[in-house]
Amino acid sequence: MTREIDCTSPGKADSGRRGLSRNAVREARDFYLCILPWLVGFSGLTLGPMLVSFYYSLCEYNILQPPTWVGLANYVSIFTDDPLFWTALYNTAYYTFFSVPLGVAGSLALALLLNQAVRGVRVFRTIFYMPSIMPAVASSILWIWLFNPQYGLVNRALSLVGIKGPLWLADPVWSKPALILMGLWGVGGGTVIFLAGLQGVPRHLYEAAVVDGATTWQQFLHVTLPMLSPTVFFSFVMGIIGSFQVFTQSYVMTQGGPLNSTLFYVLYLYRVAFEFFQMGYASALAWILFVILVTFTGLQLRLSRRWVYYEGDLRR
Amino acid sequence: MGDLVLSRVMKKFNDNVAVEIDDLEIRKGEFIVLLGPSGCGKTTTLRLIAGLESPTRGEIILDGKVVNALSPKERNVAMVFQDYALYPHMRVYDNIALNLRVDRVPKDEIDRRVHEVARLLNIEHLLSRRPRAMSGGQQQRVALGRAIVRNPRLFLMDEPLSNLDAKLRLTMRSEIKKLHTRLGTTTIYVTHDQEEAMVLADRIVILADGRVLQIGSPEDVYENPRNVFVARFIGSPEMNLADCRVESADGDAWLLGEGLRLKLPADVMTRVAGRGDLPARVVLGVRPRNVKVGRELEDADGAGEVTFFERLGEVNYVHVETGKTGAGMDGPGGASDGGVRDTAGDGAGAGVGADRPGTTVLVARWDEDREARAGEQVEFRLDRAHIHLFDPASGMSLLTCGPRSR
Repeated sequence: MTREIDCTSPGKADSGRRGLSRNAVREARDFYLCILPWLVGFSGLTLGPMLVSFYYSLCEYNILQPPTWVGLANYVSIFTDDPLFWTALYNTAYYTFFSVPLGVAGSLALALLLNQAVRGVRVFRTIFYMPSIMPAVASSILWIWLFNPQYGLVNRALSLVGIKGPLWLADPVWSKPALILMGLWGVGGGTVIFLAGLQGVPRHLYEAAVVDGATTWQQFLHVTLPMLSPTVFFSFVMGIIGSFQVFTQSYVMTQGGPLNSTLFYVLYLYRVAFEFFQMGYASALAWILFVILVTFTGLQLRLSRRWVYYEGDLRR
Repeated sequence: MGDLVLSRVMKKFNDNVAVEIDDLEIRKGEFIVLLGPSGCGKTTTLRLIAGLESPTRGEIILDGKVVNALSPKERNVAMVFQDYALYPHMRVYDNIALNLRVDRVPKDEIDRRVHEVARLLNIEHLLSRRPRAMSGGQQQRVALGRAIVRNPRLFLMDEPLSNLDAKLRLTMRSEIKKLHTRLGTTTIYVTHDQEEAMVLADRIVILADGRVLQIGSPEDVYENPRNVFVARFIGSPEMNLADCRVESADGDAWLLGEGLRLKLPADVMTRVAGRGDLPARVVLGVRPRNVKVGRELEDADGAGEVTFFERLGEVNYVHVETGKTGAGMDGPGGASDGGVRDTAGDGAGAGVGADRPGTTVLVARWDEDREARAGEQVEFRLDRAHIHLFDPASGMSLLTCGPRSR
């Protein structure tokens, strides 16, 4: 058999020998024309502001006066002279550490349930997805009521089984767990992704496992989980990025309290920027968060090689 | 023991009958190939035997016990899948060992058996690899190893070679055969490739539309196809089929077809099923290897024009249009004396290889060293010992077993 050479893709066939053919030039022109709106948007609204904010992070800037250059002073004082920075970082890390694994596990468990061939499963899928399309502010206000120590549904339910519920949002010990619990409400979003992943697991693998005599749990362990590992990985990466930026709940429900126990990183950043008008300092905080997230994501990508199996790898 | 019996087994998907097998008995140690075109129910049959599907009715009997309600594990069957179905996150060693671990076999015995199987399949050096780091052929060996290691009562293989390239397929084919000889485990093997079936099987079960058409040794189904479907499915190139009229003269029966005319010898007549008379029309079948072609033959049965020369190297074939004769054709079977112009095309149900009205293409082995030219006039003669007669309406064979079969 002879293999056909693909002559249509630009650059591949022509550019190697003597510059670009007319065809390739035209295609390149069209290409840049097509991505132009995105290029303009990206440089004007994302890249530009990022570079500017990096400059500001090296300045003192209160919006009213022009920025004055202070070098690394902002960074130095963040790390050496700002207990609130450390509080916010700790709160955020705490929140992420519990909410992301819980969220991933919850999404996966729900997806497994909703993947059964049960009558009306579509209705359930819709119901479980609904919280994800609800505005965060609205659901925050709803949860204020749910967590109300006296009248809230949560403590009512607990009292029915004889447990006296905590003060939740009013108690510095329980405020973060309360927000983590509330986060579980949104697992429907991740569930949709896991459901899609489950559709992609080859049926033969389950059959092979059945022939091997694997129990349902062993099938989950040896087939479902490895085959879903790309989805799990994706959920972890996006989950960590998302929960490091948790903001709305504490802004609406607790304003960072009580005793700064829900002062999350972005909430702190917001306050520095828009309540104290220290734009330079806030920019520095933002860049530190950026570096943290890039590092985390890079680390995860590196670790993923050990435990993520893409289905395509199976084929030759 | 170890006999497997399918008794009055039927499987429906929704309202469609996928498989209906009245009686299929498989002896211990046999290599059985389920052969048929796609959608014929062969894979469903295999899955019923495996226990991955349960029959709508009927019984699957293993070792004299009805196993309908047992899981694959309890039936102690092992299966090799078309796409290997290896666990992607496990090393080869663990892939093979998993089913022993599920059984809580002691560690050192697992180790011993995995290495034994790996040695047998020549994959010992791959034990610490993961599936994605191996070629298709290597993955196939691992899949075989996973099946062998547990020492099952039945091996079930679902088109295990169809994802491999042609060369590797031949290699693996002979290895599977050798493996079977060595292990002696009863094997049921599904394929749509008749050549694979011929090479591997002790007995071939030919299926179409969910029903068994014929069960027999490769030689048997090749020499004595019970109907037109089997005749065409087994053997490559396909058996030639021609619509013929039956005429008797002086107590002899003559077949008159497009550009062909031959007297049926007495021994064929004695094999006519039920010793009855032949119907007025029959479908004549003959394999390309049993047709002799040459420029001038003694006792030719007919003549035609070469339309295509097929060079395969090892064997070459010519396609001869039998209805098409040039000027000066005056052999024993002129096109004019048959009066069968209307027959071609009639027997579409019987699958007659008519190219266009009035001509029939006959494929024959070409034994001469020179190449046949298109347009060349040739004569042909059919080997009487290897002709087949089928009923044009039902497609069933009109002959009982040939002289060559036991």
